[in-house]
Amino acid sequence: MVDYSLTGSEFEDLKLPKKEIIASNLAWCTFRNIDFSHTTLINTFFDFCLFDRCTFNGILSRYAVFSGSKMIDCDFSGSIIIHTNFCGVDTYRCNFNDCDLYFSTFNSSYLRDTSFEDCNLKKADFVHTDQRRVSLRYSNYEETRH
Amino acid sequence: MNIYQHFSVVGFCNTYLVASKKHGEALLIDPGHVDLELINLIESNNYKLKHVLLTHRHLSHREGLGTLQKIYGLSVHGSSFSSYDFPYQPVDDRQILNLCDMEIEVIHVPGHSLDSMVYKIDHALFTGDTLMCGRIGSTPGYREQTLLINSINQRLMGLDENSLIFPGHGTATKIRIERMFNHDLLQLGTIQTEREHWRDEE
Repeated sequence: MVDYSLTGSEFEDLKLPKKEIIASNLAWCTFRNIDFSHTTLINTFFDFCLFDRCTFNGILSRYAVFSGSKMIDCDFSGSIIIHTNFCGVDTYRCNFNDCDLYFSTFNSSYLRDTSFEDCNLKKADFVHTDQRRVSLRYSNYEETRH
Repeated sequence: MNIYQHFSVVGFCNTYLVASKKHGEALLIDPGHVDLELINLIESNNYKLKHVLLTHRHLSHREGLGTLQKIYGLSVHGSSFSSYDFPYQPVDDRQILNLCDMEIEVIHVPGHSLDSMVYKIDHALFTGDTLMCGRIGSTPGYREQTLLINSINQRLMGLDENSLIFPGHGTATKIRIERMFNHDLLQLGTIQTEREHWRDEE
């Protein structure tokens, strides 16, 4: 899927594993129970979306934008998520364990019951984040901006 | 318009390859470091690289220029406030450039450096080190910081909120996202107060 604009759409109960979503605009969309496992996301905009029970295991995300989105019960574990914008996201019960989050930005986000265990956080940005019950065990949080 | 991003761990700078969809000519914005990956990006898409745009004079944003000049015949465009030791075509604030079948608007946003330029191509803004995701560019002092925040407010924040921002470092963003979540832009009031105190002490 290259160069698509589907802003404001609603998606539910879909399996999209191993797809490539490139240079597309999916801002203001609603995603419920979507399986994005092993998907490649490059230069794609998911800003101000709602992600409810979505699975992002093993994705490759580069220059994607999730800013202003709400994420509930989402699983990003085991993914490579570099240069990705999570500025201003609200996460609740999300899992980023075992992720490479190099140069990703969580600036001004609200993180609740979210875990970042065993992650590479080099050059990631956690400035002005509000963290409640966030686990950063075995991650290099000291190498972030915070 | 096609936009390709290239990141180099040398200088941690983003370089952008921009090309019109109709023609095979392309331009580069801020060639921070040239490596095989960037050359492959240009060649695999069969682009004829014709121009380079520099957002400002800092070395991490133009270090690869010498290598590119040896490979391609390029015309370099940089701010008229800069002085470079290589031939270049100076660009001024509000100038419209027509390069590679694209219309490029030049926006002067001083603060990070006096010569900082933002290039607007269609709905994409190439901001260099003026405005990045969640923060503004670094400045040597708070007076320059005030200048930068004011410049961003006056010249960039009034643009369409869905304009895409491609910064010199870090992740892509949008005007709307920066308006909502960029804490540096929310601090304008505090900085003005500091400036008033400094005036009082003087």
